[in-house]
Amino acid sequence: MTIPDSGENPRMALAAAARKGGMAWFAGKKASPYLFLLPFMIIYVVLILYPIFQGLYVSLTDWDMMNPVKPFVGLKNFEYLFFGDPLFWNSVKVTLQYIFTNVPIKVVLGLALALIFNQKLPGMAFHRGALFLPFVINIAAVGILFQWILDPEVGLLNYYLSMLGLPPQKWLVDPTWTMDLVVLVTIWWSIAFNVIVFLAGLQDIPEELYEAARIDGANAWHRFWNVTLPCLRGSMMFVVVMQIIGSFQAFGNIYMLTGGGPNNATNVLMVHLYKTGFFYFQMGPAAAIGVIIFIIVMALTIAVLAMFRKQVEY
Amino acid sequence: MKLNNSLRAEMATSERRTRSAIRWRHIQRLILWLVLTLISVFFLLPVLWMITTSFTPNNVVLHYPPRWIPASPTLQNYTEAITTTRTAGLGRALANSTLVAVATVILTLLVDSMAAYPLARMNFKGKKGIFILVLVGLMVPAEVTFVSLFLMFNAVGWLNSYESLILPVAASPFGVFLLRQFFMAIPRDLEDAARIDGCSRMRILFTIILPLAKPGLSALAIFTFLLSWNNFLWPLIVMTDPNMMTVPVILAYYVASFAQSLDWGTLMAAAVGATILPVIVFLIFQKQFVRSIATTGLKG
Amino acid sequence: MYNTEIKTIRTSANISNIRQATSKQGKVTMKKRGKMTMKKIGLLALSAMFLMSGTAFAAGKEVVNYWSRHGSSDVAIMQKMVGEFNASHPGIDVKLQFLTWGGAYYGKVRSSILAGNPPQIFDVAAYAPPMFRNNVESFSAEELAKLGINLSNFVPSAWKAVEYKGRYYGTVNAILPLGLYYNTDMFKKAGLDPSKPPRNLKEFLEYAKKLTVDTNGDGKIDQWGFMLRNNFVPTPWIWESILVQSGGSILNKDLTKATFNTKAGIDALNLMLNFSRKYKIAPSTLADTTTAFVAKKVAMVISGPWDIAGYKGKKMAFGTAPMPQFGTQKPAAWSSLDIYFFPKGLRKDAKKWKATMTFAAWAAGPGGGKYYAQMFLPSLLSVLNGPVMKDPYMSGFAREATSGGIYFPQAHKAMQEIYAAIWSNLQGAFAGKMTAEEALSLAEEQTNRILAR
Repeated sequence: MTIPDSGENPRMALAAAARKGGMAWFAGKKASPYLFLLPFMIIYVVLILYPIFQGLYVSLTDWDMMNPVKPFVGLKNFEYLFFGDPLFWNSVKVTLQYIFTNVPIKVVLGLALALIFNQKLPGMAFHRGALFLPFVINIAAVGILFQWILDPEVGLLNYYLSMLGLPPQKWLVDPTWTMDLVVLVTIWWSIAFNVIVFLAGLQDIPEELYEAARIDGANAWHRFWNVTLPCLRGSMMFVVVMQIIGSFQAFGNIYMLTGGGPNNATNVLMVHLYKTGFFYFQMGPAAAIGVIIFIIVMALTIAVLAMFRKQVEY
Repeated sequence: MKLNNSLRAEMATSERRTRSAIRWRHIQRLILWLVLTLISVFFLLPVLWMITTSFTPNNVVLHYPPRWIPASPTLQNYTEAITTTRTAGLGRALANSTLVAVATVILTLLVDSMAAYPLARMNFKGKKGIFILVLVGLMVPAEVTFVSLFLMFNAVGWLNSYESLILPVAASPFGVFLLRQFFMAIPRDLEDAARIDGCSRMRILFTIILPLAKPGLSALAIFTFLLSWNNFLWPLIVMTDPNMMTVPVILAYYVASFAQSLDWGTLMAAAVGATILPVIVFLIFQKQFVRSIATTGLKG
Repeated sequence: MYNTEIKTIRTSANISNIRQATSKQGKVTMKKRGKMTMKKIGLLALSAMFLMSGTAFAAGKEVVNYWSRHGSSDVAIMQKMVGEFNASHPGIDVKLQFLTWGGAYYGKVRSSILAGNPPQIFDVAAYAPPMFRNNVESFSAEELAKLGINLSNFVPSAWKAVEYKGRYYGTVNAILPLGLYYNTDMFKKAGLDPSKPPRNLKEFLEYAKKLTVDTNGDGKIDQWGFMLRNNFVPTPWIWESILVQSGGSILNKDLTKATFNTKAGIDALNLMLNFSRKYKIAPSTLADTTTAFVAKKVAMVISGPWDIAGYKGKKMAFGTAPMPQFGTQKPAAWSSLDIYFFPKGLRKDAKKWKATMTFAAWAAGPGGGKYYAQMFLPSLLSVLNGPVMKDPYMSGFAREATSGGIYFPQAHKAMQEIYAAIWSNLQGAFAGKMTAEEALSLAEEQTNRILAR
């Protein structure tokens, strides 16, 4: 996949010739691209790349914050997570549960909504605004709002359920349903992202393709299946990858609603990392969880990219 | 005559067919519109309830049946949320968040556009390698580095500082990637002319490239602003003094405190207060915002 | 990398916008002036926000930052207490902030110690001291006496919690035991004597049965006899209280092993489950008991004295009593403490240290005791045995504390994590996902793993 350059034009060719002619000022500025890159690279290397390796190192030590000596302990922290940590495997299970509900629902629903929002209907600007509004609301505010709405005693939702003659629900108190509620709230909060990406993809599909399909007698379903979906493969890949990465990163939407409970039903890896590191100050195991998340995300991202690339020749 | 008749019959049926097709399409559109309205209601009602509650006095906030229009609307909740002395007030948190977000936006635009320029416009050794390095950054979930970042900032005594919130976000691989796309699309002729006139690379970037890449810059600016404003986990970890906490973190502390005393009105006022600025930014720059996501974009 | 196609299409579309924009440059300069004023307004607003935040402090005052984990109706009283101190001590400005947030509080304090900017005072619960022992200042009894804190004036067992190898780590202002709250109106309506609250399981069940009623006759119960709270505070501690009443404990004496997965522990949990399942005196869902008690949906709840001020503010007709004895051997109610800790190194700043200790000694003495008496039990004997005993609401808790009906939890540096492990498994049992036996053996396994670290 090459990125097309901005195209040839005569003046540029002229300038290129001037460059080749060995303009003195240019020769002296060989260092300039590196100078331009310097500020970015410093921050990038020190605060994004280096911490990954530092995290790996911390995960191999017995890192006591109060002790200046940090003895190297090999894989002991990982051993602790796998065989000693009371909650690690629960967190893995719960994270997978979150991903397997969150990702497919949000991808399918995002596409469906994008198809609806791509129609020309009265008041569309308003409806789009309504859809996008929750997306800019602070996750902490979202968490508070839904704690209020879902409160089993005084919440709005149970009131309207009782109006319909239904029994009041325990909502976030019942571990059976908490994860589903978290996913529902997450959809409310962030589905707009997927819709926007799909909408952009839809608008880039040339109308002629639909015309051609129509002439061939394809019905709406066939047109969707044979034109829309294949044309959206780029957006689809992007959304799926982003959703997977995002689901591993998910913290605020879960922590602010449930704090990881009840009965650890929503204690995903990220929440577990936070508690291990910053509630209980077990930095070694916390760094080890970080390393594990990093490896899984990298592997999954590469797998998804490879899968899509195999399926559609890029 | 016979031919004419059959033709007429055919025309009539096709007319009937189109008419029924049009009617069917009208019905379809009506159904679609109804679905759309339901969707909007689903997305808007919670926000509305948040706003309503924020104007309801705390002593009647548990009123049954729920009142969508408060009987005696009050601004008391907002005053309480902003001036409360339980934790740092929301006013202080709003100022912190604004400061951090604005500084982050400025620094990000500067650093990222400077990095994107040579990647888009110059040929030099290691360009491809550096670009791939940037792309790798797009796939790293920042959260996995928080433990080591925390330890690093602790080692240099930068916990609980604005820098600790601003710097890690400033070198945004996404920003470089986005700006590079915009820079590459700018025709080279203007720049080449300037170069022949003897302009330095730096001047070219600031006087020619950046003004032309305004849509890209504004998209990145809005995106960075919202990202910074809504950043939750990192400030939660790194800010230890209530007076330094940003809006989302303060909100988290509000929940614990005000929900226990059942002051849902105050909580909702705080939530609304935390939301106003991003919503305004969103409404003004909706187009750029949507574009910034449509082009690439990162969010759970 | 993956979606460059979309982007290149978009950006090429943008080029036409750019061209239009450059041709509009004349208009842009026109608009610039408007933008400048916008900027100024923005700056003004920002500086106003900083001002509103109350960071402007009076010159020459020694500021003492004080963080608290509390956060229910006690907030207002603590603020009043600090207000009075500040008013009567012109050279000192105590800034009280509430960092109420479940488990996050202790982590935040530890981070602030690491970051080198901890508050001068932070309060902690009875089980927390070992967590901070290496990070806080300690005192000998003589030093405390010099500061005006004479240990013989206080409840002795309370100060034991902060004693370690002959030194006292922090000061102890108040005792926070669990006790019984009951709605006196509902008692009367049910034909029960409000001056004779239930003292043991038999009486409790008998009372609760009479107090569980369907007031409007629609076949659904709308007033429960009892209810358990859906919160870390205090439901696992109620279970622990019952366990201790039957002679059990959470950990062994050496604090190396969990000892709660026994018949006593299982019976205690089963009893709590059976309040709803067998005796039908409590709803099947854990709920917010504070709300329910105010909303008159429940007649009896178990909680600490920190709720009193809130109920008084809501004009409730209620009484308090020692926690009934549900277990088999002795009365025992889990009880926390309000402990002040001072971060290590504070002594070096003599002025700050003096200001901090002036406040701490005042808070532990009669000055603070007056306010503690409205929300907790002051550890100062003269206040506890005087005004508190006479306070109709506090007396229930005071009787319990002075008659030996309370105990302080075992303290371990991972106690918070152990309670979290126990609580999450109790939640599983209450939700019907596991039996009491399963919940406790899981909790035991998890606790032992935490202790083995």
